[in-house]
Amino acid sequence: MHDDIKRSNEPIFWALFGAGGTFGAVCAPALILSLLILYPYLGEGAEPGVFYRFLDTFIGRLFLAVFVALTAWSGLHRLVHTLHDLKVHWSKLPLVCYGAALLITVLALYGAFACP
Amino acid sequence: MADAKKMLLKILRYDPEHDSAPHFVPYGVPWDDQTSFLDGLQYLKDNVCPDLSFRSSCRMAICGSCGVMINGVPKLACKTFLRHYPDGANVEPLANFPVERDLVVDLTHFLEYIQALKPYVIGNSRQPKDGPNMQTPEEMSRYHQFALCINCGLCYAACPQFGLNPAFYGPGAITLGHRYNLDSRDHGQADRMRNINSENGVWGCTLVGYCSEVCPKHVDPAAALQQCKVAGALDFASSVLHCKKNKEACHVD
Repeated sequence: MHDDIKRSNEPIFWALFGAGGTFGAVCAPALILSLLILYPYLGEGAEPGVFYRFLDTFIGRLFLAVFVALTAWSGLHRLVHTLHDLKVHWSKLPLVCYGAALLITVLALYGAFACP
Repeated sequence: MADAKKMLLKILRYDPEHDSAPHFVPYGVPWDDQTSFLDGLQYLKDNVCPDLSFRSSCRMAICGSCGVMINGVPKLACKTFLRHYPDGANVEPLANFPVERDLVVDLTHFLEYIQALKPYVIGNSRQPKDGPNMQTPEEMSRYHQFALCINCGLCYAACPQFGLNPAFYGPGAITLGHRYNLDSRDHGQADRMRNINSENGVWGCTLVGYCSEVCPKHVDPAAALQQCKVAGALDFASSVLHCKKNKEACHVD
């Protein structure tokens, strides 16, 4: 029996994992298709199309930063649990993975708003 | 039954007083289309090896006593028929539990976790004179599926997370706690959430989903645990807000 009940901090990471997984599943295929494959073909003449003009707005940049950050939280949270399943019980693993996700979040926000 | 065709069952035998480790012993079991694995085990105990140990009671998938691994899959011996295994089968005790003897496992962990999750109505002050505590069909449908659990432990034998960490409360106990959290007659959710939201609570689950696959009563414990996670996350958020107002009442360490 567990006499010493300590509240888990997992809900924070699970919420970010869930949000990132859902956001990634919904948006990733469209973003990969539009930004990485169809970009040269979706312009309006020599000008970028309406979707690309949207991505250049404040909301568009925030959308891209949140997309990168949440999918990073989702992937790295999954990595923590996968390594646990593979019996890698390194105590600093969550710190490293969630630290990396936090770093990616900062870089994504910086990249989205620092770029001209 | 003596003239019946025989099937080869390899049973994992273990007598801690004589054996250094569990080992398979082959037995021929007479069978027909209506012979269950429990019938086969009972035949062996009555006619071949009286010292064979296994648990059973109702023989009709209600008591949840006769869980075993059949070809590595958790099954109720009374609900599984030899006719589905024409090439014979291996019968082992439930995985992830310590073996006491032969097919009998030590379910202490499971039983303690059920007790810890308080699967009974809490905080309802109604008296018999108040009459029945009515529920709408909708209120009942919220928990009814989770109330079908027979505590057989197959979900624990299927759960890789319980195998990795026996301190994890596991699918069965959390589902039973959740069943009462969803019951409109109950007021004990805050009490149960302490355990459900603890480090060995619902967050140990990674939604492998095998527990729901092997459940003989179609309880779908994986769904219960996912619902529990949503409730747990909301409970976490409300506790953070509550803690800001009243630190002493908070149990975040």
